Amino acid sequence: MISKNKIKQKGQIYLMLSPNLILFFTLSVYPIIWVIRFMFYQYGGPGTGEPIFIGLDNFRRIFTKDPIFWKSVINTLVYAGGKILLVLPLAFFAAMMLTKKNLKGVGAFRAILFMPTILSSAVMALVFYLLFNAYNGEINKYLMTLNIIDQPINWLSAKNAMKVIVITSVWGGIGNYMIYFIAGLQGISNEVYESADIEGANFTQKLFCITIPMLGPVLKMIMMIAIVTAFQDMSSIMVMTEGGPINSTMVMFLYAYQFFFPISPGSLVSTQFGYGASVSFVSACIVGIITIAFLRFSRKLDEIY
Amino acid sequence: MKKVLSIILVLLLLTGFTACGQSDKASGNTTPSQSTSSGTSPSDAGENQTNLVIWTRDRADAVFMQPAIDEYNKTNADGIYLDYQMYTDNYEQALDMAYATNSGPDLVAISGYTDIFVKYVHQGQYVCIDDYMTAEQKERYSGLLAEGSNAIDGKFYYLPMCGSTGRLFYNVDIFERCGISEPPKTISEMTAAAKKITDTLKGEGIYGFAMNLKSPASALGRSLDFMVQRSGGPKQGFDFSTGTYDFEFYAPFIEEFREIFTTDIAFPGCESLDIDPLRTQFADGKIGMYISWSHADPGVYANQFPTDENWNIAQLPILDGAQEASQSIQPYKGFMITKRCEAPELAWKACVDLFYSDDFVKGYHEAGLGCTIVDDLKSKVEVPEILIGKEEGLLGDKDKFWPATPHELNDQAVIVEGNDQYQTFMELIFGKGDIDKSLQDLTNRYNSAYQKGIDSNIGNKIQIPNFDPANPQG
Repeated sequence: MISKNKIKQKGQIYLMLSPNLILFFTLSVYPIIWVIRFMFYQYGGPGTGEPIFIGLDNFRRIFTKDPIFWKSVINTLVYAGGKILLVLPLAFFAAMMLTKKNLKGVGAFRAILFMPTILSSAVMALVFYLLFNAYNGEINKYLMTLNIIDQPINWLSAKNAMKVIVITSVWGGIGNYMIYFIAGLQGISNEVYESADIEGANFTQKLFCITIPMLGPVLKMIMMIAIVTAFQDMSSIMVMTEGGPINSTMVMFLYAYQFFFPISPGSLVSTQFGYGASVSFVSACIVGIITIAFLRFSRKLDEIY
Repeated sequence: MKKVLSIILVLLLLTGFTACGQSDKASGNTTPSQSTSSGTSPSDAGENQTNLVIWTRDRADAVFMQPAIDEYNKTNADGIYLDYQMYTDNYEQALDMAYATNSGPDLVAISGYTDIFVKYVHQGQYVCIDDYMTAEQKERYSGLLAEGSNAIDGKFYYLPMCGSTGRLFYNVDIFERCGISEPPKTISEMTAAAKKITDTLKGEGIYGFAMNLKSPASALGRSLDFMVQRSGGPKQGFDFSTGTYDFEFYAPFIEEFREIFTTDIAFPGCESLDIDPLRTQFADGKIGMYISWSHADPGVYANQFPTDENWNIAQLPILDGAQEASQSIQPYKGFMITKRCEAPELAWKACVDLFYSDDFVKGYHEAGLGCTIVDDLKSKVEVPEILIGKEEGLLGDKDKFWPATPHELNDQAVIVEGNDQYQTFMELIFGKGDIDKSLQDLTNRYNSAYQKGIDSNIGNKIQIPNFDPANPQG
């Protein structure tokens, strides 16, 4: 017989959890069920007629007749790899510098580096679009003034656009990951460093033998967040290049998005909710496989100490 | 002191946060811009007035539209109050969300190259105005019927006040400096002229040709499509006489564009250039020529990006040796009554008394905001001031209504696998792939999608035997 007090206690817990649970089921679980249903249908969206059941036809199209999707997968891997390889070391370096004792203005520096995180990614992308403009962008102007180049570089060409996208996202992400690293670094006890100082360890030895190993669990969490976020990024790409030129910056989720909403007023991609659902599903599976692979290979980071 | 500084920093951060706005980074959605409406406000509507909300994308003609609407609101005897709201950015997305949530305006303005008609008319979002039109109106406007653009199954959904098509915009002084006496009439002349300008004036940062290829559909839809039609070719790849898609005709055009864009003739960065940045460079005298809409760009250089450059308008170049046919008119500037409107008769009355009235259409034309296509008004309108000396910018006898292609009639009827035609052209223009093989593959994919749509009873077979591109209405 459950006591009244226990019922009251559990009731209170569920009551407090209920807003979150309601939102979770309506905004996460229900859309997933919707996607899983419409993956097997040809459906143009509300008002375009009844959905037509086509079985695995959408998947046949993805795996045999859609080179653009697989190009978007490669682009996503390149983008995610480039972003993670640049943003994590830079964020770690910034965190290391901004956790030094007796550094004046550390709060201001942290705020400045964190500010890109709170900016709208669309606004950020627009500004970088103007900076990297081939004809009269500021980057080319400065490079030509300094005689580093004598001809303007076409930064947003099919060859270079991905590099610019990565630079933009790294600039926007450093502050965010820096905060995570600062939290991790502050969790390392000073006594360990003091012991190392007594033993005569230099900066490099402390970094590789104490700091990085002891950041293991935090580093694993940061890398997982970075991987999942990088794979889902699309808003800045949508504003800067719309996935072009010639699909050179088209990433998986932007490719799926355009089957639900037009990327730009000039876009003539027909709404294909069914096909978009199957593209989203396959993309999510790819991200899931990579995340699972990462979790397996990063087990060692949990065993550091 | 530290506390004060912290408070100031927090306030600065908050200001930066609110000033730059917020977007959902995970989903990539940005909220649509707020609408702007000036002039009289909804609160000015009296108790016995019927308030009708109009959404429009256009802001360039607000200087003309808003005073006319304000005057109508004050003087009309039907108790109608028009609330004119300008949604500039993400107009299509705002409509999408409104329709999905069964909300939205009473009237929707349609202008330019957009799919908001064909996409939503099959959803039943718009009221057919045929039932409200008198016999005289049907007779008068019969020439404006464009199946798939403003009508379905021969029934009107809106009356286009104006029409637009593609034109070549060129800088007269740049041409003269390079010894080019007149604008190019063929596509090879266009390439040669562009090359000459770039070779001669590249040192001054001036290039012969530019295109807003950030959005291939937008750029090529206003240029290549019309050039092909005018040369006697198909419309967006669809050959009406055979009733099939055939992109072979596009090959010589793609070759010329490929030469322009792969041999450093074109303005740098065209593949990521949007239309407004292109226009600013043209206004700045950095571009020899480009192709755009006849209704939009003259007004741009008068109001949006005023310029002292000596520029002019010419007909589009056609295929060398081709007989000049016709190019399609895109119906422009009309008002569709939505199914949410509770007083569709009054909405139609407001359209007839204001937007479709001769005075309004005449005034709109003469303000240089759009070229009227109502036959009996053409002889009564003056050339707009901004087009004096640039009369090629007006619609002429080679600009005609063409029938709608299968994908214009219903975009769900032709779902192409892989790249659509404009993405394919863009790849070819930038040197990727064999032109003939790619166009053959494009033809096969479009015909396969077209047949699939017919087999699924979503689309219909369209064929007009003996179709004449010079006389598309037959």
